[in-house]
Amino acid sequence: MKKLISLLLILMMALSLCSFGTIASAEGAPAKDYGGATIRVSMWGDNTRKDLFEGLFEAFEKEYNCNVEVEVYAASEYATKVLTETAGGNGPDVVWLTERYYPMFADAGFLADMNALMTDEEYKFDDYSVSLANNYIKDGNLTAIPFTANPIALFYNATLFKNAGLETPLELYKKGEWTVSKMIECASALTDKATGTYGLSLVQTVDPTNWPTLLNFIWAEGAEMFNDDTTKCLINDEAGIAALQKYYDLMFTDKTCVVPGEMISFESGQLAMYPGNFSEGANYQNVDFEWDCITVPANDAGELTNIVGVALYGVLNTSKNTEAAVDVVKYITGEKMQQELSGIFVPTRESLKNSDEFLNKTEKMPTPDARKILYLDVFAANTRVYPATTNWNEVNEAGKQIFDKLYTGNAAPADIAAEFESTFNALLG
Amino acid sequence: MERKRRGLTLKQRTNLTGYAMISPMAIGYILFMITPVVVMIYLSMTSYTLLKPPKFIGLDNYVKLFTNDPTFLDTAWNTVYFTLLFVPLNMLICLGLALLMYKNFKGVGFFRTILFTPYVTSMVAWAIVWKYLFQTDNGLINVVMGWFGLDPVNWLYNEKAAIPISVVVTLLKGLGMNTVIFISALMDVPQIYYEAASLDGAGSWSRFKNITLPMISQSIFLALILTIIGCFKVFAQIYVMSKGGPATSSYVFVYYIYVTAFRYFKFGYASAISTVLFLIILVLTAIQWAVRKKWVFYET
Repeated sequence: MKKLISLLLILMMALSLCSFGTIASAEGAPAKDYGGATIRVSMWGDNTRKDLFEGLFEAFEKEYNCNVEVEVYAASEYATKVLTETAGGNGPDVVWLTERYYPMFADAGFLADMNALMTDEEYKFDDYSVSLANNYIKDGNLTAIPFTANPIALFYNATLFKNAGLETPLELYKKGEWTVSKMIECASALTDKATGTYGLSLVQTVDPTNWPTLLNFIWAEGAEMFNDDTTKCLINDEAGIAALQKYYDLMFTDKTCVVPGEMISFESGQLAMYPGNFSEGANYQNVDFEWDCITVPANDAGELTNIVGVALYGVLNTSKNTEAAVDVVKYITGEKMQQELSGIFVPTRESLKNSDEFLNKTEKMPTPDARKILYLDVFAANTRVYPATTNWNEVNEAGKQIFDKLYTGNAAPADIAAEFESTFNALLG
Repeated sequence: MERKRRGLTLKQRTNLTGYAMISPMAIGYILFMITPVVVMIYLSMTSYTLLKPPKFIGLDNYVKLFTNDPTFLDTAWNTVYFTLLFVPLNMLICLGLALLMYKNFKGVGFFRTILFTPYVTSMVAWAIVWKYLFQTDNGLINVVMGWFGLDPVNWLYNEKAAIPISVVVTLLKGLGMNTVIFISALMDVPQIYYEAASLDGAGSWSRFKNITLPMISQSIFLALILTIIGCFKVFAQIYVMSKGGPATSSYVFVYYIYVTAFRYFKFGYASAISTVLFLIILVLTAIQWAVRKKWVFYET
């Protein structure tokens, strides 16, 4: 008898679940019906990110009668995984790309066009930063959507500045005096061998091998590593050698700048300034000193240029559901979702980037001032996207190896510049 | 009239049974060992990248490797340097430890376990721990040096130290295996030989040289081959600790293959490096095999 009652209860529950399902699907007819197709979206990150995006895609799945699968990989292995899957005929439908991997995918013809988005009034493509979006329109075809762009933020230990009686970079910036020379002057004053405190690092402490971060310094010194289309190395001239010599002197003569590999962390309180990503601020919420971040300084003529890293959405043309994949991109890069995600990714939609809601978002550090400087002033001044080529990994590794020779003190800056020129030109040619 | 026998002969049936018995292993070996080697050799003569289909280019990859690729030459030298440092140290220390621990005494099991534990630890975890120990700031090694008034050393960003540090880290992890091989061999040496030699007045060095070494030479030979091949395949500790750097000072064969294939996506070129590595290991093994009769003592 008990078994019979249990069975009846289970049956009733099953029926009621079915009826709820019917009500739910009857509430809103799908905008488009993709017949339950599965759209795979690949991104770098961890399971928290996967959960976040799966949650965001739930509404889309209902609206379009499809299933969106989010796949996350470690950032360091991301391009390899996606390329291997794609080459093996099992690629995702939608991919995240960085500006550095974009040429590789575009040149191989892996990216489908998303031209429908350019003319979609509801999508408001014009809201995207024109100078940024134009980089991804090839032969009139829109091949990727830049959903976030981050300039380099210079983190500084405000306590060290105050203890030394120095004006903070923010104060100097407001007075229009935040220049490379001033930064070096501060670094020199803040370096203290007795306490092992360094005034400055010119590379990211989390990844000192990421040498393109140094391009800001090289540009501010009036030199260029590459020409505009990254087909030729230009560092081996007077300005380039002088820039490398200045960097060398800061590390080995003045000893105000950390030699990459020393592993001095900002959290230790022994590093006054270093360049990093704005999001690194999340790591410093509980440190026992005051800090903030600001843009990298202008050159001595007051001209500010900052390098920008971009993340993009693309649709692979190996997708069997290209139309649905483009709709996924439209949904997630649309105004509503971009606003939803603006706490995590700095939006590239002008309307969102300029909104008070975004600019005043942080209650903790960095300060709203830092946001305004980094995302309004810097973009209003001059931004340059990281250099990229179809063989960027090889160029990057070669650059790392040559900079290592500078860091180990085994080669003179002039020799380093000559090696950059010969090695890079052989790879870029 | 002689009746013609139909079907298989006994010998044929026996052979067939034999082939059937070895077929699972043979098929697996052909599919997963021989076929990849053949495909690798083919790919080494193509310009295959993940992004574009293979295009036959003959021996161009090999020509570039030996005439126009300084990283490959650095890689070859670093691998040989690693092997030259690692193999003698490993063999001597393992033999010494085996001689200390092959006899039963109180606590020997504990010491053998301690020695063997790192061997079964993941190389990645092991290398991460050592990376922290070698850190410039707050790394245990520099902290200890500081107690004696010595300045901290930037161990992992030193071109001259990169390979020796990898050797030390690999050595400490891998001592257990060869020591166990030697302990097992030493335990098999009949005591009667030592007793007879002692009666003839042989000293301990003479007994070691004339009895122990010849009797365990088969095990030394096995350990030597395995250790040399292992040196040519070293990867995880380099990947975790130095990423081949600084510059190319710790690039070794497998790391260079990994970078070329999975960072640069040049699968054709990476296959050429793999083929060279395959041939080096094949030649080394063949040489060792050829000379073994001269110095390996076979009791039977």
